[in-house]
Amino acid sequence: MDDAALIARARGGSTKAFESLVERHQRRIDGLALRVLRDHDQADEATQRSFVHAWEHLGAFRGEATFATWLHHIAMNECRDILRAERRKVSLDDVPEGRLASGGEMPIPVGRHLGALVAELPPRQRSVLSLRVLGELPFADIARAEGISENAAKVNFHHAVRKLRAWLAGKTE
Amino acid sequence: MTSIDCHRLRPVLVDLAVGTLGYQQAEIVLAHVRACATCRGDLAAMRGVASELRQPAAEAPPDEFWQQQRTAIMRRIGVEPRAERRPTRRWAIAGALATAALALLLVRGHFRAHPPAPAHSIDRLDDDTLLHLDDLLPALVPAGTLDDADAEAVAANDGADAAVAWPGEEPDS
Repeated sequence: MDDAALIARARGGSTKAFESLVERHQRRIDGLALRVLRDHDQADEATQRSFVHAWEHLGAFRGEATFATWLHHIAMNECRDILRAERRKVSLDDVPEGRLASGGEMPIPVGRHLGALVAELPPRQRSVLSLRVLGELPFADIARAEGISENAAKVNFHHAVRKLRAWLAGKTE
Repeated sequence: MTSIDCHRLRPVLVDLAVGTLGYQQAEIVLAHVRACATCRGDLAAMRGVASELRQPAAEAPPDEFWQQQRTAIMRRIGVEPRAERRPTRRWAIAGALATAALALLLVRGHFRAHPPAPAHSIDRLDDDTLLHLDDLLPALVPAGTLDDADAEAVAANDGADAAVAWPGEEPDS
């Protein structure tokens, strides 16, 4: 049974169909979360939350993008929320005085690398980059999922990489 | 070649980075990249980011992990795992009733196939048994359980029995 048929059944309230969808996609979503979060427990939590969110919002899935793409979006948002929540937990003692005085946004915790930076990109850039690199989707599909032109998807990808590069340069200075 | 507008080149540079650019176009873009430090840096960053993000974060977890994760997800959406699901009180009662009904049907079927002899039918008692009922009476009816009226009725009945002619016998005179 393909995803569309399972989704139709799950929408009708079949938890068994939804469980089949979970079984089919959980490895990919967990892998994505692990690449972004670099922590097994957090990746597991992000994966669980993503599927719970998907279940609760199954009615909002219009089928313009694939279910995998839609899940991917959800997972990236969950990863971002987890990273933000963790950042809020950073002890004030660990924050340099200069940054406390400026009231600026707290830094991304040390140990979080590129994946964490990806989660900090603007939503469109984050989606395009992760769908291309982690989801390995062609730009034509990404454009369809995002509702933009293929060229716009590529430009967003370019901007995302430039931003990451600048952030990484800033962190290593 | 450096006269190419870097800004307009971005989508094509992305294609070059992800390997989806045709050979002829790739030659033109590469000629520009060799002469343009900015585009060279962008190209290297795009390739590096993709390579870094695609690094497997860890070895694949065992199957038990995925099963547990699935169970946790289903629990979070309100579904108890099938193996651990216990019957509700309502279903337990229904089950007990069904068992009782089945037992009743089996017993009924058995008695239809083997109807029991009617209990206490005097017609089915042979003469010897009837003759010895008097001997058994004290054991069946302990002394003192018969009142006087009953005793008289028994005595009268004994007298009546004495006058009865048994089949094949002459009545007592």
